[in-house]
Amino acid sequence: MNDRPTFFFSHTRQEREVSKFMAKFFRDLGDRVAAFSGSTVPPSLGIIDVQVNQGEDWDSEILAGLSHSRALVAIYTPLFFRRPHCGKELGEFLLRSRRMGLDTEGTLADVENVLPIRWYPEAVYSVNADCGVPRLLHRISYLPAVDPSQENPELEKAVQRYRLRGMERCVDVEPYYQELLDQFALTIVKMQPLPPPTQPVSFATARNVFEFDWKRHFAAQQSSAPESPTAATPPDWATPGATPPTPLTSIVGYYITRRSWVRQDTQVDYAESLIAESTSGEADGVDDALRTVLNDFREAGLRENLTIVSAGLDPTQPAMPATLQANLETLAKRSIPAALVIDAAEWPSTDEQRNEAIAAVMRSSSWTGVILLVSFTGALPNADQLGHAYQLPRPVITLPRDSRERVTALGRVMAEARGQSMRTRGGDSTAIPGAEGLPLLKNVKPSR
Amino acid sequence: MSNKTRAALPGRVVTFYSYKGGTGRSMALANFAWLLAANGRSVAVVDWDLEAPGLHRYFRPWLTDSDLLETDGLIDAFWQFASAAVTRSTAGTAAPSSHFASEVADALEDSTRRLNQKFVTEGYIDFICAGRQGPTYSERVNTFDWKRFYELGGAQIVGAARDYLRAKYEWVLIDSRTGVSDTSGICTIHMPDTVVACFTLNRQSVDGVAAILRSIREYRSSSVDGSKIKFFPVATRIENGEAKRLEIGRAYARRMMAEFVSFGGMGPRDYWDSMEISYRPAYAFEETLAAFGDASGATGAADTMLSQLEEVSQILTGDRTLRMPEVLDDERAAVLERYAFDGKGSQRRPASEPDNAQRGDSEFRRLVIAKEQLWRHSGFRWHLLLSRRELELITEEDRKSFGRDASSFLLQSQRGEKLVAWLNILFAFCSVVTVMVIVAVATYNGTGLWPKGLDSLRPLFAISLGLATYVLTAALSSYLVSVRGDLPYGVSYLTILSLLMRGPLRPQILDYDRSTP
Repeated sequence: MNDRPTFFFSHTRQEREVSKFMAKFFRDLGDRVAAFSGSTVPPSLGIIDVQVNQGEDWDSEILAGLSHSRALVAIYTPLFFRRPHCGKELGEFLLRSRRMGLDTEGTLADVENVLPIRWYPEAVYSVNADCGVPRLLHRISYLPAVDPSQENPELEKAVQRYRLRGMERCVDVEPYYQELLDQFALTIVKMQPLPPPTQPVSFATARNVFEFDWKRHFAAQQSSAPESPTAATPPDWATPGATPPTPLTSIVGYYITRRSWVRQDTQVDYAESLIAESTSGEADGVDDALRTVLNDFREAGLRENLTIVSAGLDPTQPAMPATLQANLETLAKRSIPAALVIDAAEWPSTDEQRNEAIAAVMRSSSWTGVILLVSFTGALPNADQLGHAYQLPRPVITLPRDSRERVTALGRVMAEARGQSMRTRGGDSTAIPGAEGLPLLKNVKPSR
Repeated sequence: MSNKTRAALPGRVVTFYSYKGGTGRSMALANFAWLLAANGRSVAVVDWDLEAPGLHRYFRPWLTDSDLLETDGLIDAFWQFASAAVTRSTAGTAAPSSHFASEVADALEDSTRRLNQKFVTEGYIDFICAGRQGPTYSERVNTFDWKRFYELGGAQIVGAARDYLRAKYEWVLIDSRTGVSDTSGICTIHMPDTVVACFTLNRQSVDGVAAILRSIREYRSSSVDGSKIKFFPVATRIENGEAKRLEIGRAYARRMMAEFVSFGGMGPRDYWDSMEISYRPAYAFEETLAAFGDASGATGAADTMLSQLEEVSQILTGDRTLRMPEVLDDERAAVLERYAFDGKGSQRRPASEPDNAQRGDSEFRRLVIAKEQLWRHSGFRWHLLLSRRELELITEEDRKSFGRDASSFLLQSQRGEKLVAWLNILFAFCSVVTVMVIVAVATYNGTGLWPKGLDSLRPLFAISLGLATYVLTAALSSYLVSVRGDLPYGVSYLTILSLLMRGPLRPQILDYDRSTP
């Protein structure tokens, strides 16, 4: 058994290499754990996959780390819950827990030595039911405890900031960062060592926490679901799907398509149906190509600090244009930009009446936003021609097929849509009473 | 004064402005920030040059995300502010509530990252970059409607942002956009208490700055608060090649700027001698801080970029003792390597990666230097010399790495140890003599020395005489010690007397403690 408080750092990468802030957090956490445990001798107490060099046996290095580390630090991001290697890392580590079971709600309980870190702001996890932490892991949650008897206002603020803004926005933000590092490091140091796995594993056979049949596993072990789970009540994170869009910090995308998607139950006043997006990777009724577009939209929104809400519309519904118009006007009054994401297969279609009804919505000046054409199959449509043909006052933008290019293009159009929304403010440009004008340098005549 | 005490006072907001680009404005700001932090101040640095951000390059070695691809900045914060402004206007709220003040604070904190530099004096620099760089940065900047923002009540939000920064930092330094623009007006009119106006010695630059300063003064004098704003013109990129033209340029610039400068106790010549920064080709290639580009401390010189920036900083702060603490050679070399123009600096490592023990040694040496700064700035107070433990920890290698200031400090501390040893011996001697006198007077039975009938007062007399003896012997002993040639600098006769008389109750020389004011 490993007596040193080593920890395994489980994370997922976006398109680029490990985030610099994530890498720094890993290093600083390792240093802090070492300091609290009195260890000053390398190697580092933290293990991360970037330390494993090419040419070495990646599987054995990673799995060795999982088998002997005292703790697992899991960096929760929406992508984390969709990556198989993250699922396997978490799954294999969880199986070392001695008392773990499944509660009556199908949530893993009494998990030992896992420290989940929410990387992004709370809004990222709560805007949509499937952006959040899967139900299976709801009890694997951690928020540093603040002892009211010990006045530590900086720790209170640090915890509050971490809870709302995520760890990414706490790294190098002082004094919060040092307080949080202390709390996380102390938690790791206080964890008791776990036994190694009972059987050797390889990456191919490692069990993915999101796909593993936990019921059968616990039934086979003859461990019943704990009637009164001893795990602490998880922190009160925001309810997924309940975050309303806010002016200039959200974009609501209306997808006009007949490709399959799953309806989210949340009732809102600006859309008939919100799209729920699966995080498990299983077949869930969402068309693959559409899911890619939804992901790109969310990725672009994340980069622009925008919350993305996706709504679905069936173009064949006769009332769709009128409903869409009403929803767009509702958002415009709140200065929330919208994006019409139109499946090129649906517009223009052979139904000219429907085409004109949709075009009428596009021509309306009572909403602010962008019109995006997405083509899933066939040639890319000529957006300029369509705009000219239907006399559209605002440009129609064809999204690229390549995902990376699409994310960049979406970022640009989102920034412009937000700017337009700020300028028009729902069509009413009346300034509020008492507001001061922009201070301008005047009478500047430097030339003689 | 501790940082917490200083932080209770409102901070100063200083905008660095220039009419034209390439004047060295950002360089001056970055170096000023570094000097302040190295001398224990809390500093916020804001890159408000949204159209051409570059301040982050001076701090590259200490930024986790030196390319700012993952770091939110000012424009990102302003988009959050705009959301708050729109929400308020929709709700019809005229005045900001505490709720919005906390939103402003949150947005600014999202954009703030602390430089990874541990100043031993507890100072620090928090950096707010212009905005997260990347393919959509220009859209984020160009689509932000400043006029509209102010129509929606943005002035109050900007005011709240200024108040937040003032409350949190002793110094807030803003790198303004050049020329005349929406944002340069905010930076120079709305935000600051002080404007540092950088100009080169050509007519366009001088006239431009003069016109801008005039405009700022007119606006502020007619604004609601009518607050006075201070101006500090600084002549930059001074070249000595063309002496006659330089003389003409100087005269013109000083004439044009005369109406804006409040010379205070100094004459114009003293002001301008301190407020000029020469052009130095070595600094034209990489954005290097002068604290590392030039030698500092006792090995520094008067004709370097660093010394000129120290002069400017002293004028801006009114603190003539403001100087860059000595930077060790190995630290300088490491930082310069990271500034390397070929971009490989951050990937290079010293030939031998320092292990934990070596890092600890460097830290100890820096603590010694910090204590020396404290000792010097306190007026050479005796108890701020190195303690016995610290003296024992210093190795031969440490001695070799010290510059003149630290070497002198080490010598004074060694003398301080010897002085303590003498004081202990002398205290024992004085105490023995005192006790002997008291006993002798109290027990003397001879005749003729004590009036009959006053025997009851004899003990009191003995003690009084004993005390007088103590003071006398202490005074004499202190004098004999004070005439020795190897006393620590700053220790006077009265100091020795006071220390001797207090005996074991004298203050001890303790290890360096950062929390000590």
